[in-house]
Amino acid sequence: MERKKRINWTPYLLLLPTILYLLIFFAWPMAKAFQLAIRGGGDALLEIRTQPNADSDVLGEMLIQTPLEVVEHQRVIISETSFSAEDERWFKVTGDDKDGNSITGWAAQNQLTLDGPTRLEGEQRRRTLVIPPEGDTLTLYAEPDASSSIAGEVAGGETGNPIGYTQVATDDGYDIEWVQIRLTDLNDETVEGWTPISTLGMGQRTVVSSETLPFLPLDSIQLPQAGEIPQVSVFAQPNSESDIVGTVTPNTTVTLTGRQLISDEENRRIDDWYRVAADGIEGWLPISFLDQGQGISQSREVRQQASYTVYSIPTIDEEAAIDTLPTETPITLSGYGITLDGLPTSGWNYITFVDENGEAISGWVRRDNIDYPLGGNRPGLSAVVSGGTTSESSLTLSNIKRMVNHNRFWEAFRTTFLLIIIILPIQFTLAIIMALLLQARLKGGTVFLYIYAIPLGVSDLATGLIWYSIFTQSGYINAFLTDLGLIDQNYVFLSAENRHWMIVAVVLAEVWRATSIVMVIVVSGLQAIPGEYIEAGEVFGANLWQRIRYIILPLLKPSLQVALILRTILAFQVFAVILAITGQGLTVLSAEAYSWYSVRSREEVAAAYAGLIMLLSLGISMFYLRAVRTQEEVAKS
Amino acid sequence: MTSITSEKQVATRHELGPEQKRALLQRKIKRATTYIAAILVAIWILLPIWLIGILAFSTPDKVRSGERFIVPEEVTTETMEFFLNVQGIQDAVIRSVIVAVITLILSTLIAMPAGYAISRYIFPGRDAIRLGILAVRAFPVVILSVPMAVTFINLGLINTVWAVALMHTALVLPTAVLIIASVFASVPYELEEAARVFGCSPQQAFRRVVMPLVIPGIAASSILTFVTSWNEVFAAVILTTTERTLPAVILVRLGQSELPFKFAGGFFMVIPSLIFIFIIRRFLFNMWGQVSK
Repeated sequence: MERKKRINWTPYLLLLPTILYLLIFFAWPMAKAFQLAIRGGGDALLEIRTQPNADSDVLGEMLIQTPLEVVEHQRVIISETSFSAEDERWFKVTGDDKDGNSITGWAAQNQLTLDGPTRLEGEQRRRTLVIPPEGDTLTLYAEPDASSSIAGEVAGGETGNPIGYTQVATDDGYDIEWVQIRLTDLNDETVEGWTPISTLGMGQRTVVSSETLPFLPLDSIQLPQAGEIPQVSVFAQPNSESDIVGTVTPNTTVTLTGRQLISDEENRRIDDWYRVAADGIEGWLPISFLDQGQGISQSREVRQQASYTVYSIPTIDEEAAIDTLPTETPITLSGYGITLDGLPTSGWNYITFVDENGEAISGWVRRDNIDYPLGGNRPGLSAVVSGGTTSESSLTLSNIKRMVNHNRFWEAFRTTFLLIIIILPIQFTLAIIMALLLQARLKGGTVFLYIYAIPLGVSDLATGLIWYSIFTQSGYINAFLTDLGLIDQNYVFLSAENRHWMIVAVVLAEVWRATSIVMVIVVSGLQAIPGEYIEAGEVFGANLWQRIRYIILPLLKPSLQVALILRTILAFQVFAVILAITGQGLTVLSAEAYSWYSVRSREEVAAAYAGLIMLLSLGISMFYLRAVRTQEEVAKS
Repeated sequence: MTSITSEKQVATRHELGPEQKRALLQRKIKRATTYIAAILVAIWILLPIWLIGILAFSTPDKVRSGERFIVPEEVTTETMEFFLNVQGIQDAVIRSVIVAVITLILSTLIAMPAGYAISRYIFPGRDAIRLGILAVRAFPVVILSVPMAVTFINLGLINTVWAVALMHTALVLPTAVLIIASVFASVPYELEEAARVFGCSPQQAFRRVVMPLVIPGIAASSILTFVTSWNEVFAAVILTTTERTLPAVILVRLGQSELPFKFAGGFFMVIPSLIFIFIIRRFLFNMWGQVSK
């Protein structure tokens, strides 16, 4: 009695390291997970503005790595000299703000990372392209890069619709436009690949009268004399010094069969030549003789938001400046040119506008200074927020919103539960059978015990690889079916179209791997059942099924309960099996947590997943425990 | 209904002599069926390992070709060598072993006193602590690596074997404590008392009498710890970027690696499990049995 009062501290001391360790590595990260999941502050935030101007109002804030759609873009010139300009590019972007609401506003380029190849939208997508020249072949590349692998060879004369578009800056300081196109190749197979736009015909255009084009980028082209019916010369080569193959009258519709950009270092410009076919002649015309097709049609009226210098030639040159285009002036676009002027983008537009004195002024303006009402000149471009300023800490639901709104969330949620619902019954049946077999006191029982226990030590990743070797296209099942003569071509089990087969493979792998742990728990539960109970059942003539159903299972209930909770919780953590077997084909909650952390670099969203999985595990454990208790209560009453 | 039929059966069995012979035959059939079932289950478990084993020990060309055999035509270590010579694999294997050994030592050192305390002392809060440790086991531990990674970044521990080993120790600690407690519980306290009676100090009694008896059990527990750490991939892949353990390396390379790499890698990871489970097979049920109670 006296000893009871004196507390013996020894056990507490012995337990202290364990308790401390578990507090540091469980309680603390658990709290941290929930904190991370609802924390909104401390992030780099990018301010989205109402105008392409750092002094304009802030519309909202975006988190770093937010994916964006570029709606339009503008170049704001801070200072301009003859061959260079200090400028800032601003992009009008649409994306989720830090609270997950969609906003549209302006951000400066230095805080965005622009994505490469993008999809074409609208007008450009519908334009039919022709592969010139006929009889020749065109090489399609896998990437918008002539050094990338070749996607296919296409015969000349084919037509197709572009599906992607991008601009690639070259070392020489100008952009090459690449088009992604889907065509039928020489082997009659459909190929998708990239080609420089200069190799493609651009559909049909109209030759515009030379009178509407007072500026000709090529000095040696003879201007038609007044009074003459203007004729436009067509050249044999993309070069104004080459032979003239014929002439066309203005307003003739020509078919564009090719395009070539010729860089003229001396005059700091690129001459843009089109190969055209009309009236039985085929040859080359400089772009200034052509209207701008559907992209920028002749005489399209647009408004711009700032004032710009208008030049007589497409070069930033003080001497060539002819006027200043005032803000909000309607302009008519009628020409397009490219020059080498030391800036990466060198597109120019030939415009006409009416100045204050009512006089019509025509001249060249940098193309990206024009505010295109229909979404800029790079439709469908996407970007990612890459910079910003650090914000104050605050509580937010944005991480949870982001988790739930992501397109793979519900799929992951459903697949997780679907797998649990399919796997658990099979697993428990098999585990009970295995346990009963081990209890049957067979000869060589220890050998069976060892074999049955092997999967205990096999990791989920190794299990995934093992079953991958069975189900993959060159796997055992296909080899087996081929040997039997049932199939003559390997069947692709693990593909997005065969979701059910991927689930079958994962179920088999999980049953194979994780049944052993259930079995071990069931065996130790069986060992605790007094042998007399089962013998009594036998004496009274109960058959095997009756003995299992009415004696063993009720007595096993506590063990099964433990196994059920353990298995369900472990099932939430499985992801390597799924990754190894299906790649990205199937996804579960833990796989999403992994990819949010590792691939998408958003630890807050990964933490939200961690929190969700913890809550689900807890909830399901409670549910199991409650379910049992109520049954017992029912039994008692 | 059931009770009536069973009474009838019992009655018939006692009345008819030849029927007993039939019962004996039935018993033999039953026994044979049991064996067949046991062997079928054994095949179910062994076959997949056998299949990937064949692939791991055929030539890489054969693995790529898609020809598959149940019995290997020739055994060669070419594919395994190919796998082990892939850039970074050997380092990853060494790292995996280092992580597993640190985990083993740390968890055993921390868990031993705790296990001893739980099995040998009766003290206020004992059940609560035992339950607490059990409850911790029931948490999706690996998920904790995500918030833990943020902390390791701040501590400069991210991307080191220590980060992974510390996380793995947390992962195995609850199980280790409970297993070691059950190992100590299997040594009767009377033995310790007897040693004290014969003049040993408590420390001597522990060292000379208890330790030799618990060492096999604790060794088995440590091996289980080692295997768990060797296999663990989620925490390993989250907590490292370049200093990855073997499973983490294989996981991140899944997308761009070819079949011989995958199959040899899969089989290589299974080998330690085959050996270690064989060593500790006798302890498995005691260990898990105790833990699941």
